[in-house]
Amino acid sequence: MTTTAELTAQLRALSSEQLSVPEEQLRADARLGDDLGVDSLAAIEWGMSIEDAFGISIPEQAWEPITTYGMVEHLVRELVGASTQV
Amino acid sequence: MRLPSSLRRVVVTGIGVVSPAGTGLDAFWAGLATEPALRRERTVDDFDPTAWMSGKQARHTDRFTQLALAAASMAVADCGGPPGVDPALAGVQLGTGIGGVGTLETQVGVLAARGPGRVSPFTIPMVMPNAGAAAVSLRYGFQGPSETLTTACAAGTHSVSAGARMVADGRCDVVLAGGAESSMTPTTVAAFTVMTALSRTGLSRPFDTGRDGFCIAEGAAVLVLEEREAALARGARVYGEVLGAASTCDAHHMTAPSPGGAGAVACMRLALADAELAPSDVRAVNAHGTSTPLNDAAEAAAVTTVFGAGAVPVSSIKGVTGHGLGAAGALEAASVLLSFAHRELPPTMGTTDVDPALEVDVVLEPRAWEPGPTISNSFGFGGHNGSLVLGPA
Repeated sequence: MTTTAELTAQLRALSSEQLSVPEEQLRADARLGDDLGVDSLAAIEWGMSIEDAFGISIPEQAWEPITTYGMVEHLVRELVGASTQV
Repeated sequence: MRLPSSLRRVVVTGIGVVSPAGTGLDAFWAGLATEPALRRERTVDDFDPTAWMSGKQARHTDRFTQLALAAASMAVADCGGPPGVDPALAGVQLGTGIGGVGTLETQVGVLAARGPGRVSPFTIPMVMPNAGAAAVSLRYGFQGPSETLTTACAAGTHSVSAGARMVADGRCDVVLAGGAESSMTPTTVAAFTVMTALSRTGLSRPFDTGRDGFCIAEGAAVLVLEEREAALARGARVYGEVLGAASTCDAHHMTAPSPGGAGAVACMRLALADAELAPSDVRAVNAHGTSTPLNDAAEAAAVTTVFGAGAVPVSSIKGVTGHGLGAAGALEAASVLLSFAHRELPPTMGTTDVDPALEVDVVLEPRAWEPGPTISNSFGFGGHNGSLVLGPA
């Protein structure tokens, strides 16, 4: 089972590469659009890569309200936790 | 251009080239007289997109757009940097034959292997043929017309012509015009192969007795077109002038040229009329010269009809560049403008034994000349013909 620290590190590495931003910019309060340059298409692509990397499925309605990197990390942690409990 | 007297003269003040013959003007010009390796697929092997854009942008653009951005960036640098004009009067005309088909082919593979939910959300803006024009406009903040003509292998010539008209008629003060192509996928290569259009030998030899098809290529060329008086006022280097242009259609067959090159004859004559020149004023022909049996025969017949047998020197650079489809006409316009600067006609590389049935003076070695009006032809599947008349500054 993935530990929280491992998940955090893996998500940061993946996101840094996908979004072409240094890992230090991936603060919890970093806004997807203004701070990380994530537009709607980039968000979809990023979401796909997260799903593939963690073997999860991100429901559209769960992604919609997300505005910060911290919210993404929280959602992924929740979904990974949920999937490993099954 | 033959236009009402209120219309303006159009000059070329910058050139950018990415080609299998060489990237950048010096390498390209030298490459045009260098024996190429035998290759049926002529790629730009040393091209690094991240030299021209961020890695993020490179991941989200098809290679034809990457080549377009590189050529546009070189052209803009060559003309002295981004022009200080009203963005509303700055435009882009960037043609392509097939557009981002490489991306489409990749995503077809993704669809088959992993299902529709894994097809990239960037597929459409990467595949669309106008992606190159859009990317160039975006880079420079040009808010005037940004358009893509797709007339197969005539797209580059038609785009330079269309860009020149936008400057001539006052719609734009500056236009970045040219073509970009990178469409060598397994499917397109197979398709060109089964229709017997591609060379079996990998030797592009326009007008040669042994010509056996074209060598498919990628590349891009972009010209900076400006209104002449403004260009001269700012002290710009002027490579040459767009004197005239024409566009016709054979309306004969989807892929075969009309007998005797009738459509090409009509196109060249209209272009000369547009430039207000007589055939005897023309000092050189930059041929479409693809190295296919049909094209070269029809084009040679057309050139002979318009100018007379052996009356004007004919070069095709496709012996080196291969056939860059929608980029070809733009690459060839660049070669014409460089031939003015170097006072030399480029050779038709690959060709050693000119087909005696063709009554044209094929330039086989670099030939010194006094620069003068030059007509550059492009012909595309669909029967699309484009002729562009360029003159020295």
